[in-house]
Amino acid sequence: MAGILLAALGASVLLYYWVAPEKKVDDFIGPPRSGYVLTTFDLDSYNEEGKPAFKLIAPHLERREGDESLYINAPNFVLPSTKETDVPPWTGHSQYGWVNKDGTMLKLQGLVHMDRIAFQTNPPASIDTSEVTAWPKENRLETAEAARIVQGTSTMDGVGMRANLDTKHLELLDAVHTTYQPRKR
Amino acid sequence: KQSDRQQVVDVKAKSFDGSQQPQGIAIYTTGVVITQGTLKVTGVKATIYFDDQNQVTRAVIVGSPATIEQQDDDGNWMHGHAANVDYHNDTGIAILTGNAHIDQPTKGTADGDKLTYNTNDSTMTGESNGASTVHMTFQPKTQPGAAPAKPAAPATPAAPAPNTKKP
Repeated sequence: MAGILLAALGASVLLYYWVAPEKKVDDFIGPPRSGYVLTTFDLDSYNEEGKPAFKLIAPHLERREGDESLYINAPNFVLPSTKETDVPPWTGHSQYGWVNKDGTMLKLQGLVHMDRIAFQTNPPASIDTSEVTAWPKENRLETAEAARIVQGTSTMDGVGMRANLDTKHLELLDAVHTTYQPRKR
Repeated sequence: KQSDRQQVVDVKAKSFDGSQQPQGIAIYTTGVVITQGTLKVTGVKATIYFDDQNQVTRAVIVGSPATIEQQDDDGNWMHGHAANVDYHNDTGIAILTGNAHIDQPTKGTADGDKLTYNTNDSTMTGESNGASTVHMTFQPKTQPGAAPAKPAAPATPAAPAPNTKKP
């Protein structure tokens, strides 16, 4: 009789482990990080190779535990080129900024202005829009809003923009209007 | 007009895709309208080439058909259309290929496979790729004050041959 009981016990234990969900593995070691507020700070974010991904200088930052993202007021930002080292960075400011948990995405909202000084044969360039999503580690930008890009003597307006600041590849998705100044004689 | 090439190049389209950099190329698609002074070119797709000062050196516009129009220095209009309009901003030459047609109301019209129009002096050359001929019509030059030609007097009927011998 005992044998049957033992076998039944063994089977039920096996069945339990087979059916029960795995235990949730908590990948973060240590106490949950608390929310915090920074005032007049510099934030430097680096990519995996230790090269600067972006820099934020702002009067106010709040980090919320929920999704561990950062909410920033009136950020000044610097987006360095991820490829060439001798290329000047894009710098700019906006009314608000938001950085996701692992710093791969930077959202800028409200009167976003960015510009880059001239270098080599490239004229100075600037981008103005009302909102932009940036992936600093790939130096890529995107917006669904109207954007104006000035590059040297040419001015481009469009709605919806995708830009890769490294390869300088630019797409405007709708209502494009461009003016190129004539050559100086 | 000669002065067209010193005017701002203005491009409107639905979308833009290009690398805005010296020696770069910009592609505009859907409802493209390019204007520069009195020059106006429209089409479905335009590829614009830049020199190292980011100035427009050439624009290739395709459409069904692509159209081009411009006013010359004495105010005469030129209208043209073709499958492909290749406009060289540096030399002012427009090459229309693919059943090209150019109409200059005061001068005449031209049809052919390839028409090369010089926007500096509004002259034109036509070439065919052998299949069809180039067809040009020119407005007659009306001499000032010349009386219209009198219609030719009807020719008097020739007298019947005298054949009076009776059988």
